[in-house]
Amino acid sequence: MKYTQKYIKNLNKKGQVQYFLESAFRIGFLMVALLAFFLLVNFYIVNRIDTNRLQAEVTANRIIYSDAIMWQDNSRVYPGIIDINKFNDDTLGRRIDYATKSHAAAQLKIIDNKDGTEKYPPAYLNKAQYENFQAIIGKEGKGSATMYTKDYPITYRNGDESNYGTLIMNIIIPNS
Amino acid sequence: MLRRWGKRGLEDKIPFIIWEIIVILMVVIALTVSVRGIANNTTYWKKYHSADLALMTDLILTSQGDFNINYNLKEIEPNIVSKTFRIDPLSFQIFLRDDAYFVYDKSIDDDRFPQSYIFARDPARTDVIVSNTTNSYITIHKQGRSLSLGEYYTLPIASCPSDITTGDTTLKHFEALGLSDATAKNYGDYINTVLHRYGNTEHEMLVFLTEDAVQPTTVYYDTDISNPTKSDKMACLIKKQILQKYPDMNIVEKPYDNSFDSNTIFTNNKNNQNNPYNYWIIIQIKKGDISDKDLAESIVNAIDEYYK
Repeated sequence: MKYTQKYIKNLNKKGQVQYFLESAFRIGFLMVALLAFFLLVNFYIVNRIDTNRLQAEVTANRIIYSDAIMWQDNSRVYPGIIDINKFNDDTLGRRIDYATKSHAAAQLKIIDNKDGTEKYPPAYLNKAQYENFQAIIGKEGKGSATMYTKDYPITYRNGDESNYGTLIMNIIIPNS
Repeated sequence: MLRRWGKRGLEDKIPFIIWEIIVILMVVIALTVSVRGIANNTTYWKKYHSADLALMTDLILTSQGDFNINYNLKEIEPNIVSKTFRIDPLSFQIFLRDDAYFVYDKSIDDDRFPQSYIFARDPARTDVIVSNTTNSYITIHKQGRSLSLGEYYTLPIASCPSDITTGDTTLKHFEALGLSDATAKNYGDYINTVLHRYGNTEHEMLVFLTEDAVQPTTVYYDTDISNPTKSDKMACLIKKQILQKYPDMNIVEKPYDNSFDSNTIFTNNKNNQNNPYNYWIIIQIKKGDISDKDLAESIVNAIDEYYK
C-alpha cells in the first residue's frame, strides 16, 4: 500500500497520457482482432446439412421400388413395371404422403419407346406444389428450388397389355 | 541483466505489464468460452440425426416386408478432445411422430428448439407408433403394419409374408376340426365356439388340430392351393401369436409334407367338394404345450391381423 502511494506520486503524467493513447490503440486493435476471430470461426462452422440431392434420390426410389404405382400380384411388387391403373395423382398422393407438401414434388411421364409419345397424362406427386415451384427453379438462395431429372426404362401395363417405355421423373426439392 | 534495467523505467512499465496480463487473460477466457460454446452447440447433430432417420424411414416404407434397422448415434462417445475441453457428451431424446422425427438436445424438457425432418407416410400400409427414446443405440422396426422406434429389438420370429390379404371377416367362415384323439377334438370344439364371432358366407379357412406327445408344436400350411403364400402367412401369424404368449416354446412352421395323408378325417375334409374352404392349415400341438384358450386367442388374433 505504502509502495503503491509512493509509486502513484512518482508517476510521470506525460507518460500516463502516452500509455493511455497507446493502450487505446491496442484495445481498439484487440477488439478488431477478436471480432475477426469470431467471424472467421463462425464462418467456418458448418451447421447446414444439404439433403436436397439425397431427398430427390429417396423420393425417386420410393416411387420406383414401392408398390405405389408399380405392378403387383398377390404378394410381389415388380419394380419397373408400372400399373397404369395406379398411375395417377391420387394414388401417388395417398401412398407417398408428405405432411408438408412443399417438401418434395414430382412429375412422372411415361414415354412410349415405339413412337416416343406420351400415351397417358403425367402423374404428379403434390401437383399444386410442383406448379408453384416452376417459377423458382434454378434461382439462388433460400426460397428457390432445384429440379432433378431421372429416367428409368420401364414396362407399362394396362390390364393384360404390356409395352416398353421410359419413365421420366422430374423431382423438385426446395432449397432451404 | 535485471540489474542493468533502469529502476524508474521498470516502475513505469509495471502497470502496463499488469494491464496486458489482465487483457491477455480476458481474451484467452473469452476465446475458450466462445469455442466451448460452439463445441457444445448440438444443432448440427440434431439436424444430422433427424434427417438421417427420416430419410431411412422413407426407404423402409418402400419395402413391403418386415424391417429392422439398428442405428448407433454418432459422436456420442467422449474422445480426447471432448475430455480435454470438458465438452458435454452428446445425448438426445428422439421422437418418432406420425410423419417426422424430432430430435431434442438431452430431453424434451431441456430443449425448446428441436430439429425435425419429415418422411412420407403410407397410411394404406403402415401405422406409425408414436414412440421416443433417449438411448444412443436405437432401432427402427417395421413389423406388419406397425413402424416404431425403440432401444433394442430382436426379431422373435422370421418375418411373415406381406401379401395384401385385407378382407371382411364378417362374411368369412372359419372352422376348426380335431383330427385324432379326444383332446384334439376338444380343442376343435372350443376354438369353434370362438370362431363363431366371424361370418358364415364364404368358407375361408379350415384349421385341423392334432396332438403329439413327442414332436414339437408345428403349424403346417397348405401347398395345394394356387397361392400357398396366403396359407403360409396365416400359419406364420398363428406361430407369431403363440410365441407372444409362450416366448420359449419350440414351435415350427413348415409346408405340408403329406404326413397326414393316411388320416381319413383330413383327406375327406381338405378337399370336400360340397363344402370347400379356400385354404387349410394343420396345427399339431405337442402335448401340454399350450392351452385351448391360448390357442383359440392366438388364432383369433392371427385372423384379425391377416384380414385387417
